[in-house]
Amino acid sequence: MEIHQVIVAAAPGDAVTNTALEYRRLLRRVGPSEIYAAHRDPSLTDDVLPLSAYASRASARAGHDVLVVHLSIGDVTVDRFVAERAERIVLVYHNVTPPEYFAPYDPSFARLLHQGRIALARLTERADLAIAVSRYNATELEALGYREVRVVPLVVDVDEFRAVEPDTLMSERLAALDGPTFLYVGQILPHKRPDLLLEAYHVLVTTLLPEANLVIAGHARNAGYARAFRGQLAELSLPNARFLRGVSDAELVACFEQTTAFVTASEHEGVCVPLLEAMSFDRPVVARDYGAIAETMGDAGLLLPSGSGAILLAEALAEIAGSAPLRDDLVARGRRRLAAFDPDAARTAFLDAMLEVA
Amino acid sequence: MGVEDPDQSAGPAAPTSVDALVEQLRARVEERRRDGAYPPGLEEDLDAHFRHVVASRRGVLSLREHLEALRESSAFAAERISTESRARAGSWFHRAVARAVHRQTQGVLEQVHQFATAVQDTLEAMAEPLEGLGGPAAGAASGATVSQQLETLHAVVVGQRRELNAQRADLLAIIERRIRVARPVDVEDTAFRPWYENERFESAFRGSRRDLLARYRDLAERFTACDPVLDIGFGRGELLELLAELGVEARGVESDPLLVKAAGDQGLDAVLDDGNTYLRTLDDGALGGLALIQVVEHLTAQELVDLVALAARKVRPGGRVVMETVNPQSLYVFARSFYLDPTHVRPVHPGYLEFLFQEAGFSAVELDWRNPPREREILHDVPGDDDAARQMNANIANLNALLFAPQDYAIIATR
Repeated sequence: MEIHQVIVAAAPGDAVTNTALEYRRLLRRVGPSEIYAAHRDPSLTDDVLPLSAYASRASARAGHDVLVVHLSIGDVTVDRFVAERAERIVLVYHNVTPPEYFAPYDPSFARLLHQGRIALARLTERADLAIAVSRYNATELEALGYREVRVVPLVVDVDEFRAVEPDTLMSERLAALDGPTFLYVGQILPHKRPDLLLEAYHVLVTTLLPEANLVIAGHARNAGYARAFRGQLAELSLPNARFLRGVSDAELVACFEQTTAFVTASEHEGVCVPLLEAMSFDRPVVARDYGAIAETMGDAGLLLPSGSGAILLAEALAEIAGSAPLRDDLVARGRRRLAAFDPDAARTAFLDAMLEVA
Repeated sequence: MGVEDPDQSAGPAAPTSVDALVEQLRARVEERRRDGAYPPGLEEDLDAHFRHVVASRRGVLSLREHLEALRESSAFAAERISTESRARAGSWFHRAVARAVHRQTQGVLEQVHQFATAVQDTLEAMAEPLEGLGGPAAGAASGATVSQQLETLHAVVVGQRRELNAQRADLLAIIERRIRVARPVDVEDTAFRPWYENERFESAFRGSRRDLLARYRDLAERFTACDPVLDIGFGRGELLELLAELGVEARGVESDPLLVKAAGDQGLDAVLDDGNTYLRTLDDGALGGLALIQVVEHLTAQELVDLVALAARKVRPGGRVVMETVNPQSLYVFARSFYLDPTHVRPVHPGYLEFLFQEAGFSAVELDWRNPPREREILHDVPGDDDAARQMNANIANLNALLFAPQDYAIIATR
């Protein structure tokens, strides 16, 4: 039996690609296993095979071999490919961002997300097993009619990230700032709501804590939204807000080390790994109750109700900056919470799920 | 840092549960609303502001604009591959490698360019009849068909653009691999980090705030109607202050956190960043003016040419760039001031700077000689009207021109 994986796009640093690489390490212990992708970043062409090579390379035995299909976005090529295969299918569902977030900025991308939702519904009958990376994702799958759904947490190895040496220049720059510093790490995309975070920070510095700093670290992958976000940043005139693009792991480690608290205003997350990364650096976390955030955070963060606006978010940040006992309490809870994301337990859970199909 | 700040270590005890804390925070918000700290409709106003920003910067792209964007994104050139590095001698090394693989780079670029041109021509040919169909005279039914065709075509354009980007990334990867193979190990950062504060240095040697305000007023006036202006390396912010007085919208960029903080305390719009890095983040044509007062002498030759190229992109047509720097045509400068600043890299000859701006496509380039040595320091004529006195005075004039030419010059370039 061979178990291969299919992803839409292979890119370095991408959560889906990283999961597929991690799963391949595990699967190769039991037999041949490759990753096939419709689109590949040049840096991964040695590691990930093109989807077109599947037919000639894999043994492709109907009913015997297994194809693990990762889903986070739609792609015509992958949909067609999966529809034509006769192998058993295991779906790994990373969640698909609701297209309406992108419609005002990038209709083409919104269409791809819409296609992803259609593909998800279409696979209901086809998948022998569905793996959800969070309970939140599992609920969506069950609502769509998936019968065999297993929750398998992502393999999050914070120790590996923590082992990176912090960038000296970034550490020095951030250490030189006066006042508390709040950090957001994540992509600059509409559903992550960095615009609301800027509004909250505006309230914070104009009313509560003028000396507060904000560091936003993340790729601006959508030009339309990035343009609006940069415009908002400029027009709100926030001299102590810094927007860092394309930061290295070393710079990111420096950011986590030098921050007072991690904050996100995101409205859609299938997991939200930066929350766990912040906890691993003993940093308190603040977020709103959307998607899988509550599930990932557990009781280890300041979770505001969904719909909380800029003012409540600003008050939460001021509270964290002003209360050492609160920070200590959240940090202690964060350490306990991380234990639930034991990477070895996640690996075992994945292999257990695969054994069910094999 | 807040986490280590002892002032912030005290505070209220943590509530027993997060829910209780959220309730406390809600109650506090209500209290502050009643006290007027949060004006009515504040959040709605902020949301409306963002919607306004989105609307003003969106602009639905037409098919023609998509094609233009595609053409713009396919301006392949070896010069667009960054050679910057923070490592010691890193930029030099990257440039050396870029030179070493220049032939291969050009070969790949030519192939990519040929492919891109063929794609563009095909799309142009497809776009013309579609645009003819999509006019206002077209009926509703055919309008829908045209709209679908446009969508399909748009998908093709996006796909091709992705393909071009992938090829460009391939090229970068080839060069990156070459660099990785030969990169020297154990590079160390040799950035100059003095233990004194730059503000103290500026106060000691740059002159009083009042002097500088008087000295730069005429340069500030050059930016009238050139909003927004970016002042790179604003130091103590005198020019930003003058621009604010003139009602010109301006922002400053400075790499020294203390100077940024001091400017912020004065109510000036200041950002902590490296000038060229910050410029790259701006949209093309985003600036009406760009000022660099006593900055370019701190740059390497490569940084300077990069800066002028960036200025040509980021300043809109009709906008203005003003650079003031020391005048290397005055020998007095080298005896009195140039070597006082340990971070000066090299003086920039006015002829060269003028040439750079002209080459970068600026429509008008003007030189303004500034800050002549004091009258009592220069050589004076000898009395008399005989041949010997006349000869002596002519020599004195020559010497004055060589030794005591104005200490600074400004270049005023109109885009």
